[in-house]
Amino acid sequence: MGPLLEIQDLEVRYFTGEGVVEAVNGINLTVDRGENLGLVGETGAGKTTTALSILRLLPDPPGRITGGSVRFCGEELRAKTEREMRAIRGGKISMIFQDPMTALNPVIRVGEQIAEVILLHDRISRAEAERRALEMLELVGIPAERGMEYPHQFSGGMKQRVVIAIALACSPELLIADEPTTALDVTVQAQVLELMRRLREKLGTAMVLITHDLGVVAETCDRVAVMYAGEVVESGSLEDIFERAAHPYTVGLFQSIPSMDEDVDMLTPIPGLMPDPTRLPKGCKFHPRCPKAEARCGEICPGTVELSPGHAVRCLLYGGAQGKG
Amino acid sequence: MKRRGSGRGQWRDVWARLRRNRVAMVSLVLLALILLAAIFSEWIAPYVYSQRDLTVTFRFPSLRHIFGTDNLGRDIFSRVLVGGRVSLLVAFGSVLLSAVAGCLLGAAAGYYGGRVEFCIMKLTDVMMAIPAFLLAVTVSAALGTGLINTAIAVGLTNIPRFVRLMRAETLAVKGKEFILAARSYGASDLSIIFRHIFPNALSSTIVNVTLGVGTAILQISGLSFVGLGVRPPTPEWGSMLAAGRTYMRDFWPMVTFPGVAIVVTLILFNLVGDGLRDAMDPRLKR
Repeated sequence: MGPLLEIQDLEVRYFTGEGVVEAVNGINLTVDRGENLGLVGETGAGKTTTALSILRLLPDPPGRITGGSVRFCGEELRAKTEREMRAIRGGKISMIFQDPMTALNPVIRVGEQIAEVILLHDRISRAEAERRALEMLELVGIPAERGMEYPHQFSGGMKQRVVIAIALACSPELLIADEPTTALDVTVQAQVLELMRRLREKLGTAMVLITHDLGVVAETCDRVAVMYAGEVVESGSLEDIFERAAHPYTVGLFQSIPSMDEDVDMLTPIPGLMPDPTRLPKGCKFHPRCPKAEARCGEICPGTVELSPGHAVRCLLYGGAQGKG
Repeated sequence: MKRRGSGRGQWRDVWARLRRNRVAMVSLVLLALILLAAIFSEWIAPYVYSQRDLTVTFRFPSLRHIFGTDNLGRDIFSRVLVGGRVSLLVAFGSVLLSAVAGCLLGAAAGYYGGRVEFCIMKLTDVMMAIPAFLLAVTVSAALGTGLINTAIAVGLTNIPRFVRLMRAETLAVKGKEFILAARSYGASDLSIIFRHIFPNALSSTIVNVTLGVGTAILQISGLSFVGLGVRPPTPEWGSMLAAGRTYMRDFWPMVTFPGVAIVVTLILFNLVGDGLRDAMDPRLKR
């Protein structure tokens, strides 16, 4: 049995009036069954775009998948009809959005919103769906009576629990969580992460966790992929990335957060900003900000090099000059 | 735990909230009385509405004729009652037509955008460019007189306001994350429009409907006035008003009573509409 999700050379472009935004540039990702992949990167690195492309939910126009393949359980999602995709969304792959405040419909009771997903995917009666919806609520730690209430009567953390209940109501095989804890208080973050971990273990759901919080990644993920300007610059197991970070960008990320073990007076932020995605630099996308940049970095686009099994990096320091210019 | 059918439960909530609003409740009761009186008008009316008696023309209100009699000696009270049935029936019918058609078209325009939106909105613009009354006269002249044809004529002219409102509401809701979330769990376009966009646009549509009933009553009156709407001797508030204008200086009952009937009904509709809008928005719950 192959991997659950396999993304190959995915390319996504936004065709806007100001130019073509090169949002995702040939990324490769695999997620095995039950595995938890962390997708890390700055704002604008293309994380959310990647997630939306998997479910084919890109706003079109202007967004379009221009190349590559997305295979789920060995089947190409790009070749599916819209009807087949609707069965997959929420049934086999579901998604959690960043802001629980706006992810629930304000005029529909939360119990009903959960029941709606179940009704869309299972052929059961409305009464049965509502019973299961209330069970889901209990499962995420909300008393079933509160299913009769409206979203505005819930706190942010409770709303995110409802969103999780909706996402997991049909026991999907893959959960894509787009910064699920960014909008929450730190104390609530830990509870929500713990809840997601518990439910995933129970249901055997794999997860792609999109975040820019390396602490969250360290706590929850098995493998990590670091994205920069629409490319995966480094990927590997949690240890590979946290102990043996190879790419200068990954190293830079770790230097810009405070560490418990080392005592440093000043944090070292990565200089500069993300490049304008309509005018990406030639060669390595990171070279204008890279402390180890050489002359050839501006010319040659680095290919992917495997440092050890499963630990891949995209940087000329480690060879890999065979990539396209 | 008590379990309720969700759909019914929602309406029960609306009802509970509406009941706490005293103004809306009083208006609702009065409006219900008016509707009942209109429906059973033929039985309630003390005289036959078309019965002429030329010996008692232009009588001011008295115990025998509480609203007086008109230029042909017909009992004004009976005519107001029966006229209300025609006015309200046609007004409701036309608003129902324009609201349903307008909301569907508006939601389609707002949700799909692009070419669909272009076609629907241009058509709406063309309709809005023609004065509403002229359009109603044209359609009415083409279809002929009669209750149903009048309702269709007035209904068609009022479609644009619902299209524009629903499109604006759809655009406002469409960008919200819960729509993307609904798509991410497999909802189809139709179920998003019906389950997520309409409920969010309901409160403003209700207000538009209550205002629309008012406009419709006036337009029907206008059509009757030029002889296209409801044919005499069938009474109708607008045509009664028009007939009474001639004698306004010397004989006030002929314009006053149908006029008061129109104004009171419109005010009640607006008050009930306001109350419904507040009751339907769960966020305003105290």
